[in-house]
Amino acid sequence: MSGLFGGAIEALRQASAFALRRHEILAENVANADTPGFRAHDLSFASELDLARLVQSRPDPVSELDVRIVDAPDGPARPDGNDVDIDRQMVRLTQNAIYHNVVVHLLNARFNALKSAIQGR
Amino acid sequence: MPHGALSISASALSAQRTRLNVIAENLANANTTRTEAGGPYHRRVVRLESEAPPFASLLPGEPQLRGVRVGAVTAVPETRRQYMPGHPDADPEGYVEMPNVNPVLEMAEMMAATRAYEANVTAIQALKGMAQKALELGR
Repeated sequence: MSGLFGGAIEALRQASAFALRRHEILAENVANADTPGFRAHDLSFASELDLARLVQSRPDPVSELDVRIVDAPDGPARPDGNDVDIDRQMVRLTQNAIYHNVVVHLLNARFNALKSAIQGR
Repeated sequence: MPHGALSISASALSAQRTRLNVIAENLANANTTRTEAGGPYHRRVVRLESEAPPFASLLPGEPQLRGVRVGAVTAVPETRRQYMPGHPDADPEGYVEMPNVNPVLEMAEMMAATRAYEANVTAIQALKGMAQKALELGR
């Protein structure tokens, strides 16, 4: 996608989708914090480079991000085979919500810039 | 709007509430010496298990996120003998079979269930906040 809504806006759209998807994964961990044998997951970018490119939102067309669900143990598994640490998960959940708010804020800023350009004032 | 996260957190709320109900039952029956099955009450424990979403098999490509449900509520068949001569259920030596409910253990379990419930409420509120923020786009 390019043109008016390409570049930064497209990158931010993907970042917002990433945050919502990551929330699902983290909510799964929190829901299963007491389930025997459950392993914690997380959603991650395939590489930090993707993240850096996203943040800088280079003008070149942004390809669909390569995100994947990975095992993310919070430490050694408990005797019941569960490795979710509820405190760490809650911190991630909060971080992710704040990250999403930042992304929405930036998106709004871009839209407002477009709006002023269109209205010429 | 991700439907997944909400239903996952909701499944956990429901499971933890069931767990709290069972704990309440244990505490309420801590001194029950006679039940329909005969004999004293046996404390019950819930087994939580992760649950694949409905129609999961129809979407083979998507990685499936799992909610949680109460897999089974099982009784722990143990009793303790307490010397209470004159009790209607006492045996000839004066001992009564009492339930094996340990109030301290039940209270600790209750706190764990309450905290788990609250954690899932927080997860739902975080999602709500994100969704509401997204609705402000373009204002």
